[in-house]
Amino acid sequence: MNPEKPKLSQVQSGTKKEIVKNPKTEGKLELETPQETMERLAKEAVKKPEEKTEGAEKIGEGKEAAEEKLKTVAESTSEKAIKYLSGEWLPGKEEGPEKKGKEEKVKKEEAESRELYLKNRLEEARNILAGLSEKSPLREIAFNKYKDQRDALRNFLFQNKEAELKDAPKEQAEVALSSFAGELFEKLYIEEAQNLRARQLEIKVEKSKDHWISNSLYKAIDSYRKLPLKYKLGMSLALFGLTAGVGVPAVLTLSASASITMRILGGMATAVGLEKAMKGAQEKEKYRKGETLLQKMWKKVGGKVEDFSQEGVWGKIKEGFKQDIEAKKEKEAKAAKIFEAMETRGRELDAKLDKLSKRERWEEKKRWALAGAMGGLVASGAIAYAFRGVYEMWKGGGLHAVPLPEKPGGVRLGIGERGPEGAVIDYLKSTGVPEATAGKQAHLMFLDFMKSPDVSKFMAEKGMAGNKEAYLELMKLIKKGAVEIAPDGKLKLANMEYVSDAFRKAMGAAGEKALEADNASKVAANLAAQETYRGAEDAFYAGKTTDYYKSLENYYTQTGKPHAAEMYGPPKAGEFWLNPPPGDIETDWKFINGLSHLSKEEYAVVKDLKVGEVLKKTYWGMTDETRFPVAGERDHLELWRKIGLRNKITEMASKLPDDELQKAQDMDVHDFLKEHYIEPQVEAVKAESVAEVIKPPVGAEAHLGGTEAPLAGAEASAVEKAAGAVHNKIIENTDAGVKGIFKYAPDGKIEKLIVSGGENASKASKLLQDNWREVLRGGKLTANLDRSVIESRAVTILQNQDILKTMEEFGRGNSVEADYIRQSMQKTIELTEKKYGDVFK
Amino acid sequence: MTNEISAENVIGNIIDELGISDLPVEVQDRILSQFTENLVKSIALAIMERLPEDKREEFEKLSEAGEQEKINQFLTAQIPDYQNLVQNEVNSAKEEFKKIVESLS
Repeated sequence: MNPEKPKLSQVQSGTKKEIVKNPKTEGKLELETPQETMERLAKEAVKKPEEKTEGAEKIGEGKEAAEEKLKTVAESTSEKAIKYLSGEWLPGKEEGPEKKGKEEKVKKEEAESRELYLKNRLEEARNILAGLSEKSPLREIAFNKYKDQRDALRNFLFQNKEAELKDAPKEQAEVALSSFAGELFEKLYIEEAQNLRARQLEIKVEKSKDHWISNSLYKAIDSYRKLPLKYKLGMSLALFGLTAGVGVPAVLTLSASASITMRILGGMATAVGLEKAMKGAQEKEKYRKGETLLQKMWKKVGGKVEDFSQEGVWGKIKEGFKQDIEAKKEKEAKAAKIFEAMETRGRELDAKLDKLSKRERWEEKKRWALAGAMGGLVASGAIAYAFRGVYEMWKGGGLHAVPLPEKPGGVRLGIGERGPEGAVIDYLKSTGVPEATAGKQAHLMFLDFMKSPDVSKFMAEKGMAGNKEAYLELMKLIKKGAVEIAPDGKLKLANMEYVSDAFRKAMGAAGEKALEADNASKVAANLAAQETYRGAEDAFYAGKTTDYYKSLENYYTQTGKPHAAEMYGPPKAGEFWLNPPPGDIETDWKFINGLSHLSKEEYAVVKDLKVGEVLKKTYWGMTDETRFPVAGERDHLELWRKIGLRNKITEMASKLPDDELQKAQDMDVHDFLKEHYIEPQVEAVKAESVAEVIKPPVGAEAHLGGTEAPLAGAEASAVEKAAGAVHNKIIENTDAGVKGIFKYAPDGKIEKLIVSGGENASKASKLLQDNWREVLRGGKLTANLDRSVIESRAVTILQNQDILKTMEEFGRGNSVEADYIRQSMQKTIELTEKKYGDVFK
Repeated sequence: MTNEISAENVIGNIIDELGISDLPVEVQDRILSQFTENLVKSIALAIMERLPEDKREEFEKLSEAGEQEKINQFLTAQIPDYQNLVQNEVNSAKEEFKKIVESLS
């Protein structure tokens, strides 16, 4: 009963039909879109004179026509001669029509994609501007931004048209270009003004928060749009007071039914004569009294009143557009130079910062990075330098290079589920040691620890031999306690509680059950802790600070972690932050806020929605299913940001393999973002840092196998020597800007390949069937997500192809990694087509 | 005949006031149609905002019946200064249109 409401704002350029006379249909009125109009005009312009459409302007006949034709041929010949002399063209070296056709198709698709992008940007800028009041201090900025977006679209369309006409005779091209400038003026100045006004009205409706009003208005606009043109004109007349007492009832009955409105307007007895009246009004000079918009424009661009003509205005506007484009190019060139200078300066500053950073506490930088301030730091190069600093220290040799506690008493780490070694690994990671090396470092420290007299004594008491197996057994026996790192880097276990000897002895048959019971109680405790953590999150997003800290304290008690006061107290000189909890709420929030631009309140109403549900939300969603929940006072910006978040979720989800995609749709927004956005972000920073440190050249094998597998004593020293060159990732960079990160399991097998950059959705069509959208699930109605999945997979394959090509060029086409890429591409295509049909070429 | 001449006059004046008389005829049609759409929105909004909530049902019934005289009587009774309100919306729509176009040019 409540269908998708129509969009109140009007412009749907490219879809709106214009009425034109088609000579082929003997002057009958036919519908033509602006896009079709532009294409027709362009075709006309490049046609030879004798091919001109009947009814179109003819360039003379007989002698005049022959002369014109000769001139055209001469111009075309001389253009070729110039190209020949400049080496741009060689006789007989024409490209095959098939190849040319394909290239043109790709170019056309890219242009369409760019145009759509610019239109969306303009719509976005319009939405922002329309939401600001006249008095808002931001209005001027938003207005300029809006005009910039409008100009960007205008320049793009204009330059495209210029390119399209480049082979046409100059004079004809200029005429067509002037006419196109006129169309742009109509679309992007006059009609755009109405779009802006329409959007302002929409926002007014939204702000009223009265569903009765908004629903009635939506129905009215829907009915209005269904009215034939003559009734729309009748409505204008009625509102401008031609017939007293008709206008407003005509408007208001629209919310009931278009047919009632037509009856009222028909009652004016004017509908039949309206088109005639319109024609008369449009043609008769007597109605032209005031200055027209075109005349104003003419004066603005410096034309003399007495020379005014429509063609002249278009020509002037065209010249104005050309000048604007040139000015913009000049500005961009200047900006590029400034940017280059800034980059150089930035590198100098980074170098200074690097020196300074050696005197500062590295840990603080790491905390900033994880707290979401990484953007600026990464951009400035500080993070890369900081990571490099750690690497340099570490590379200096063995254990003593570990960033040691500054506190005289050393550092004490609570032993959690990951055991004592896990606690040390986590600690090292928290100090900035890359994950890939933290495991090895911790293991070396424990090997050293095992040799200590205390441990030997302890093991002897337990009846264990001092070997690796005994050590592993010891680790299993630890129930809880703490591991201390002394100022000299030595480890010590403290406050230990071991699994009882009785339990150990029972670890035969009866012990199994005891273990199960123990595990069950662990699971229950974990679930309870997770629940508490969720409570802390909810309180945080609801702005309930006291509840948030209270829940967090409870969570720490339940999980045996250091309490918030210890964890989050203001950092004091010489103190470390130990073991940041998994999913630090405030840190997560900084990532989420950076991604979504939502306030906490706005985010709170969407964070528990299922991803599958969010993907169905629309800007004009009016049913419970399609409408976003409201945070506080609903405004369009909030809605717009939520749509932005939805689009980002769609993009992320579309990159997932089928099984994960299915799972993702059942996840709530918050969990989804944590898993698919925050964690990869943190990983990406670490990967960047490893790339900075190690920089494996393309074509060189830098991978030395898994780095976190337990090491025997003899292996340890070998690894120690190799320290710094070992890691569990290979970064591949291609000339096209694609980056691939191979990740390896501890056994050395490739776990996955993460690709990014270089390609985008606009290029997906290279690999997809022309009719892939129709093929998609047999042409049935599909969600945006399905289309995004296909495009995203096509992009991934393109990125894979690019990496494979680079590897082959560097002689690594036979490597395990290259095979992995080939298999992975094949698998992606098979799985995608199995689910969605024959979409790939 | 009288109506046709009047209609021509009124349309001629609107086109003149909006400053679009020298644009191609089909563009004028489109602009006028869009302009009226915005006007429909602003008038409907102005009236609906002022209509007392307890009168909405009656209003809906009158709209469905489509009796223009009764609608006018109802609005005159329920909305203070109803005629001027509409006239003001029409005037401000014209002004707003010109203002925005000029600021965009």
